[in-house]
Amino acid sequence: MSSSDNTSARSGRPGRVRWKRFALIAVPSLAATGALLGLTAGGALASSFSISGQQFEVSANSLSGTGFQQFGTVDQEASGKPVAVAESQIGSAKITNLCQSVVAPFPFGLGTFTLRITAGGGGTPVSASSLIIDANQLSGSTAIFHHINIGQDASTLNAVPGAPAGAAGTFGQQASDVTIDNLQQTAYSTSAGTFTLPGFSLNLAAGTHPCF
Amino acid sequence: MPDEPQDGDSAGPDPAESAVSPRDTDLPEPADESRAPGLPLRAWRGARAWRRARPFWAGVLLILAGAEILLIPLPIDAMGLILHIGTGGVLGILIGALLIVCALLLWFSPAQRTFYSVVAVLLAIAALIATNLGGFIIGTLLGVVGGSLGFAWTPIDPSDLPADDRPGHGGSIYRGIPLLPVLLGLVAAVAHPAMPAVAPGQSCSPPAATAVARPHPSRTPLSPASAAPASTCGTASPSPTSTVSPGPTDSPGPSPSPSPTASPGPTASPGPTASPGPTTSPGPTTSPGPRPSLSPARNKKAAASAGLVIAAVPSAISAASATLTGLSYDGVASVPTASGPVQMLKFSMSGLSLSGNDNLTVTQGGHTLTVRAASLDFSGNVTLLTTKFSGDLLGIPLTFTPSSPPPLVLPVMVFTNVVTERPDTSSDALQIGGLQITSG
Repeated sequence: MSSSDNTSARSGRPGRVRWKRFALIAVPSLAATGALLGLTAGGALASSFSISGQQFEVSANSLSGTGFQQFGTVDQEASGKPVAVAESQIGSAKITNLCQSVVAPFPFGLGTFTLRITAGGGGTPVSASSLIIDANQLSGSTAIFHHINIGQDASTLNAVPGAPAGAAGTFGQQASDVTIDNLQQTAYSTSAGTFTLPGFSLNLAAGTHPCF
Repeated sequence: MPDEPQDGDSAGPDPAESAVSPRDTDLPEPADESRAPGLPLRAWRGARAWRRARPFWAGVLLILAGAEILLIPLPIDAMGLILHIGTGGVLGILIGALLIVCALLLWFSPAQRTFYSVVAVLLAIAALIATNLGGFIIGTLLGVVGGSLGFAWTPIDPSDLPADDRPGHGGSIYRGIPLLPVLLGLVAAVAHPAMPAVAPGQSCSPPAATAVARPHPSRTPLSPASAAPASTCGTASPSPTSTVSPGPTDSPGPSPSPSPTASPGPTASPGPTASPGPTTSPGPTTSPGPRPSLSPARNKKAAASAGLVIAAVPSAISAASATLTGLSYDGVASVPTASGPVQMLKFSMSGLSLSGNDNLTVTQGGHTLTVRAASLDFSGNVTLLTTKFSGDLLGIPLTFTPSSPPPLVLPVMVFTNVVTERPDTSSDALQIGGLQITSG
């Protein structure tokens, strides 16, 4: 019994949470959070994205980008399994009706949940800069490129200044601009320097509700 | 419990314990002690005392917030190298780590809790803009709540007790508890799939460990000047157009038939791969009148575009049908690749349309990248470099390679069952219908 006493003595005095004090800081902080989210949804504030190691879906009614390059590379799943992907890099992009979803399992086998973000549907497109998406599936109803070269060494791509190049010797392609309609991608990693998300909504729901 | 006051320096515990313990679902402590508690119980009680003596739950929430924000962008590629991560990723890892540091400082240095708590709350709000919307808002909320809890935590001063806000005292610590399982489950669910991605230490082992055979050099950003292989292209003529040396230079063809006017039929290509039937096929044999590009084809040399380095890996484009308009054969070009120059046929066109099961297949590093399309239309200054072009012209199979180049080409040619190997295609514009890219 003395050991317990010693422990509590060493640990210092017990304390408790004073809820007025909690509210003093939590309320303005949550208000600030809400205000920032409001600015984001209004397209006034750009966010920055970087996701990896988790499969997710991206769809859009249309994507038009300036500066495009693409090459094959290998990502790693969360489990450590390598995944072959096509890495697309876009200097700046406008995206209408962007939808991005992650379907992930609840712990303890309690089914799945879906986190889904939509934006750019209300007339103002999402705009992104330095967009990089590693997808192992990509489809579009039509795709239009200008000043394209297909087949060059991925380490020599230069349509997107500053973007990380592919491995020497591997297959790459680049174009001065790109437009893809009805885009759907199954991706493993993405990053974007800045992302404005006008008309943004984030939805967390039980079950499997991917964008496509 | 009765002994406690005798331990001199722990002035506080007694009233505090008694204030809190009624809400504990455990047995009341005096009963326990009279039964000479075993080691697990003592450990449990010690842990509980430790927990109560600091903003424990604030730290837990902040660690969860930090882990969630940090793990989403944490990128590790197959070789254990950190890949392109972007501003959002760097900030995510930084903010996530700082939140965890704040949590640990709250635990082990609770005296400065006000400062750490405010820093944590500000970090959590900053994460909203800086990285993945603050871990898709979850991390930000956990951080704000955790930081606020840390800010609101105060050691119990026995002399304050009666004066302190009674209602709060009623269920103080445990009032927040019902929220916890919900939040924990939420965060665990989000963080769980990404969890094994941690332990970068082990995955940072030398690249040889993984099964991917393709060497994966570190990917440095490509500065415009560092188009390194360009120097190797210095041998090529800088003019991107097809500088042709029409002279009868050393022809690589095995069977030299020097007369350029001879055998206009497409089947007469001297290469050994050509179809042997030298007869018939009235179609494109034509009158030699227009004779679009009936030059001594096999002797032609062409120059690839300056600075162009093509991929060194095997690739092929196949299509059920290809229409080549405004076609001219420019000659054989020596094109640099990462593994040395390659001899390639060079064609120029005003338009190239592929339709029906268009397929671009690239095999590299044990993986295959496939681009499928219903239609591919290249237009404007189309250039095709290829090591091998084969297809059926009016039902007659033809194969062109640098050693057996096409003897003549017409302004418009339609091939079926086309395959071009190691193609490099460039054009002013490309329209693709029904695009599908798969990688596996």
